[in-house]
Order: sequence, then structure tokens, then C-alpha cells
Amino acid sequence: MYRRLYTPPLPRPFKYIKHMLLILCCVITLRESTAQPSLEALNPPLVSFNFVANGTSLTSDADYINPFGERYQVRTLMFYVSRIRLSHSVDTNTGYDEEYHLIDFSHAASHTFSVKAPKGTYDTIQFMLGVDSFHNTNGAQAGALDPLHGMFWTWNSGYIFAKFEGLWARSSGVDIPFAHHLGGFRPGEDAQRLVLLTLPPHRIIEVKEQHNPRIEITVEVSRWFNGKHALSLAEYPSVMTPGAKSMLVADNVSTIFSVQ
Amino acid sequence: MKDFSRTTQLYLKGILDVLSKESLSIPRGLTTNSRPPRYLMVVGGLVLFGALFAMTAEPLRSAHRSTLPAGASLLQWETPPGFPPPVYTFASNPLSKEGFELGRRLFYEGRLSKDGKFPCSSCHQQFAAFATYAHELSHGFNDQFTTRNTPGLANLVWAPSFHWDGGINHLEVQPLAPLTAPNEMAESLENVLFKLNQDPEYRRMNAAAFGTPEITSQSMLKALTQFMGMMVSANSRYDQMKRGDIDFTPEEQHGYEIFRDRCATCHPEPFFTDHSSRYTGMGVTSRDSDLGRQRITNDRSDAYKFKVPSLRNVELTGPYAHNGRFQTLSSVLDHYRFRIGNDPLVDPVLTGGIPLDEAQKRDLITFLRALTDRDFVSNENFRDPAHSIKCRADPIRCNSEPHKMGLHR
Ligand code: HEC
Ligand code: HEC
Repeated sequence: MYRRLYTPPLPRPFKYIKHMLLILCCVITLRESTAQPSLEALNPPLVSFNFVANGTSLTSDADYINPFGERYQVRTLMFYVSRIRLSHSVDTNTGYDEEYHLIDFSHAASHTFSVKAPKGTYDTIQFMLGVDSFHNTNGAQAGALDPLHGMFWTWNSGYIFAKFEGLWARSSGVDIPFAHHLGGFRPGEDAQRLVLLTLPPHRIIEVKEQHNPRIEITVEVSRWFNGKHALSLAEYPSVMTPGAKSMLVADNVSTIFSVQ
Repeated sequence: MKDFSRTTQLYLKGILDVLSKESLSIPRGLTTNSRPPRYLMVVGGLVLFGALFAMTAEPLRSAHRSTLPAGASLLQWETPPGFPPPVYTFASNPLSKEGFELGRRLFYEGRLSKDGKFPCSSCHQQFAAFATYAHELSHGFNDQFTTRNTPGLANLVWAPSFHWDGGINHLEVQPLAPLTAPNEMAESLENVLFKLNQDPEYRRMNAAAFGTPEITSQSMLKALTQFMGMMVSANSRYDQMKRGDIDFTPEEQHGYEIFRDRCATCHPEPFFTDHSSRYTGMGVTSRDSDLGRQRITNDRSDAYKFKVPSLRNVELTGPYAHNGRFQTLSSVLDHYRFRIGNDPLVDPVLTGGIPLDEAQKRDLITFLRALTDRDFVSNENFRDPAHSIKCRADPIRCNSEPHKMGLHR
């Protein structure tokens, strides 16, 4: 009743337009400041991948025996990793790094890189194995996604998410080539896999100044053959296209990582 | 990004000023004085805030667009009248004269191939509307044939996918396929870039187009895309008729009507393709084991399907079909008339074939010839830049029988 005495001089929709526009301006300003959250710590944490086969350090000219008793040698081993997220199971700290990394066994410099994360304590690392559909369908890319790295199918556009090539044989000696090139981003062929690793208590890291914390990820190559599905070389000597086989191999590849 | 927000804010301030002045003149009688409860206004405000937050997200996210280097001259894109907006917009590859010229030179560059003999233009010849003149399959490295018939190139920025099987999803990555195919240019990307970066002229052109002298796979692909993307064919007799500049002859008009009645489901205007993949029975010959679309989708129901080709400049792009099986337009039409029969796999639109009597067939072909764009095939801008220089020196030799120059058969 009190208010009725003070009839506003302006029609209501117009009166509040100022507020609405003010909100719009705030939104835009806020957008701008949240669009690129500053995650760079002074000493960014390092992530490194250490390649092993049956628990011993992987080299490219040694013979290894896989879980099916097949002898093999590794010539090429490469995979894409992105959307690295560090988090803490209790705290709400998270660091989120969109960048693509191509980890190439025969190129040691690619095994270690820094990731963006704000100060805090972390006990979990999560990353995406593969390349998302946006980057598979948006033309010429640079950096880790440069087609120069040979990780692109030219006749059926799309990235090869992971490549594993070498020689194998059923008994002694190794002489038959094998090649797994897996990928696929279209519905029904998605070979991207999320990998989530919990850091054991003595490996929990703290991101702070004057300190370069490190997360050491072990890559156990033998799990490529049986991490989830049994994929012997006799049965799967060659996987070269997106599709059912690629997805099976991708399931296995998602299990080769651990933090010990 | 900063600029965007600043201008938006200034712009909004302007609107705000105008509105508050204008609102003063609203007659009092229209005012209502029941004010909603305060909590509703707060909730409303929050909803509005959220909605605006979401709405503004997109334009700001895509703000990291490439910009032209200083000194480069912007090329204006124009969509021809009656054409829809392009699929490929040059938003992240701003068109410039320098970028186009680099792409043009690369398109005619032998060094993109292993032995220097197979530039893009060896298979994509301008006088044949960028198909290969009179070849069902083209020649590539080491006396090998291409797997499929070379299609003409035009209006590529409107195509959602490329190649007969639609396997290429973006114009920028298309050149990677011929470049690395062992039976085409047979090169490695690494080696091509190495060769190009040895040449100071290419480094100069790359700097002018993209700001840095180093030619990267990205700058090479984007330059080629600028050149190919500008290949717009929109000045055939058909286009001139559509714009009201000329009238069709009665035969052309009759052919046009038959076309709209029997062909336009799959070959709709203005591109004369709906970009879908279909099985027309053109692939089944004893030597053809090409699975077509199935190779890309792994779906058996896509076996022998091929992309509906555009019919622009079709008079110049023969032989026809993915395997080059038909030498003439007449033989393609005879396929539709007589050879489809009761093939159960054939696209339902074609069931029973397409009946045409001789007069209808003749007029239909007359109409297809009205899709030939002479300006496009003689446009100086798409010529070999080296050839143009030669022509200025020796115009007589150069302009007689251009299709016999520099061609292997
Ligand atoms: C040896 C001959 C040959 C060479 C050299 C060649 N092409 Fe092609 N081009 C073809 C053939 C054949 C096809 C059809 C491929 C298919 O469908 O599988 C094609 C298809 C295309 C297409 C797709 C057209 C469409 O409508 O789907 C484009 C674009 C293209 N080529 C551009 C280029 C560029 C750019 C180069 C140079 C980097 C090049 N080509 C080099 C033979 C060639
Ligand atoms: C069911 C859809 C469909 C209909 C209807 C159709 N076409 Fe086609 N057309 C295609 C497809 C698909 C191809 C490519 C087939 C292949 O190469 O295997 C093609 C190829 C062609 C070609 C060869 C072009 C080239 O560059 O190789 C011509 C010419 C042609 N069609 C004309 C016509 C005409 C004229 C009509 C009407 C009488 C017609 N088409 C009706 C789907 C259709």
C-alpha cells in the first residue's frame, strides 16, 4: 500500500532496462576475466612418461615376450594426451590444461612436459587419450597436432590417436611386422579414452613457489595386448582404421598407465 | 577480445542513453504501478545474468582469430547472388592477395611431388574445369594411375566433404591426400616443406601472407585453401539466365524443365549436388572393386555409394563417374535410361531407371552445356603464374591450344 503512493514516473520495462544493461556489461566484463583463468604457477608441475615392458625399461632393439608368449620388438610407439587435470579428492583444487601433447617413445624430449595448475596439493591426475572431435574436423592444425608428425589419416580425415609398430614372431626370432594405428571420433567409433590415476600417498604433489613437483607415469607396454581385452598379435597384427578394432585396442591402451 | 568488449560496452552505453531519454516521453497513462516482490526481481536478475553469461560465451571464445600481417591486402569474399552462405568461411584463414598468390603458386608447383612432375595442376587442369582432360583415370608418380577419376574443382567452400567417398572432412586437409598418396604425388610432408623452405622466393611469399618466412604445413595448407576456395564458378548461361541477363533458348528451357523434374532430387541447384552419397549402379563393372562410401563408414549399406558430383562445367570434365566409365554425357544418360533395370541396391529415386525419349535427352544435354562457365576456365587469376609471365612474352604461342602445353598424356 505504501508503494502505491509512489507511482513510478516511467513504464516499468524501460525503468529496468538500465539495470539489465548494467548486468549485461558486468557479464561481459566477467566473461573476459574468466575466459582464461590464470593457472600458471611459478614452478609448474612436470609430468613424465617412463616406458617399460614387463617391468624393465623399454628399448627399441630388445626382444620382449607378450602375455600370449609372442616375441616382439618395438619400433614406433606414440600417443596423444590432452585435457590434463590435476585434482585433489578432498580439496576442490583443480588444474585444467587443454593443450595437446604427442608422446613419442623414440623422442625422449617428448616424454616430459609441464602442465598448468594453480597452487595446491594434488592426489589425482586425469587426462584424455586421443584427439577430440573439434580438432578432428577443423582443418590444418599446428603444434602437436601438425600433420607433419604422421599421426593423421589423409584419405579418411582424422587423427591417429596412438601408434604401435614393430616386429613379432610366434617362436624364436622376430620378423613379421605388426602395426596398430587407432583412432576414431565419430559416434559409434569413438576411440578417445579418459585415464584417471590416483597418486599413492608418497607421490602426492604440492604446487607452490620454489618447487618443481613431478608426476612420474609408468607406461607398461605389455598391457597394450591384454589390459582389458585379449588381443594377441596373431589375431590382431594390423589395425589401421577407425571402427570396432580401434575401440578394443583403445580400451587396452587406457590401462597401460600407472603411478607407482 | 579487449576491443570487442570495449566497443560492446560503448555501444550499450549509447543505447542506454537513448533509451532513457526516449522513455521519458512515454505517456504516463501507460504506467502500471504494481511492483513485483523483491525476491522475484532478484531471481529474475539471476536468471537473466545466467542466460546472458551463456549467450556471450560463444563470440568471445572464438576471438582468437588469425589476423593478417602488416602490409598484406585483404581480399573481399563475395557470395554470388542466389548462393547460400559458404560452409568454409575463411574465419580462421583470412583471405589476402598474398595468401591467394602463394596458394596459386603451390597449386602449380612440381616440387610438391616426389619427382617434380606432378603438381596439383597436372591432374586438375583449368581448361578442363580443373578435372583431367580426356582421362578416365589420371597419371601419378611412377606411371601409376589414380584410383578414381579426377573431379573438376569449383565452389569447394560450399561442400561439406570431399572426394568421391566423402572421406575428407575439411578443405584445408584435402591436399594431404594427393601429396602423400604413393600413386599421386608420392611425397612426404616433411620433404615438401624442406624443399619449399630452401627457396627464398617461397619464404618471402610466406612472410608476406602469414607474417613469418618459415613455410609450415599449416601455412601451406591454408594458402592452397585460399586459392582453391576462391575458385567460384557462377557465370554460366544458367547463372546469367537466373540473374535475368539472358533468356534460355527453347531447347535449354525444355532441358531445364526435364532436369528439374527427373534429376534435381540428387543434383539440386545451385550446386547441382545435394552432397549426399548414393548408389547409381555406375560402379559395377568387372574391374571395379571400389567400395566407395563403405570404406569410410565401415557400414555395409554404404557399399558402392559415391558422392553426387556437381554438374557445373560438366561438359568439360569428362570422362564421367568415379571410375571414368562414361566417355560422353550421352552415355551417362543412357545408363540412367537403360542400364539401371531392376537392380535392387540402386537408390530408390532411380528405381526402374529414368525414362527419356531422344528429344528429351538431346535437350537435357543442351541444358547441361548451359552449366559451362567460360569465364571460370579462362580466368587469368587461376592460371599458372609462371605461364602468365610466359604469355606476356610470347602471347601468340601461348594462347594457341593452351591445353597442349605442359601436359603429359
Ligand atoms: C595424380 C593426380 C592428382 C593430383 C596430382 C592431385 N589430384 Fe586432386 N584429385 C585427384 C583425384 C583422382 C581426386 C578424386 C579422389 C577420390 O575421390 O578418391 C581428386 C580430388 C581432389 C579434390 C576433391 C574434389 C571434390 O569435389 O571432392 C580436391 C579439392 C583436390 N583434388 C585438390 C588437389 C590439390 C590441392 C592437389 C595438389 C596438392 C591435388 N588435388 C593433386 C587427382 C589428383
Ligand atoms: C539417385 C540420385 C541421382 C539422380 C536422380 C540422378 N543422378 Fe546423376 N549422379 C548421381 C551420382 C551418385 C553420381 C555419381 C555416381 C558414381 O560415380 O558412381 C551421378 C553422376 C552423374 C553424372 C556424371 C558427372 C561426373 O562429373 O562424373 C552426370 C552427368 C549425371 N549424374 C547427370 C544426371 C542427370 C542428367 C540426371 C537426370 C536425368 C541425374 N544425373 C539423376 C546421382 C543421381
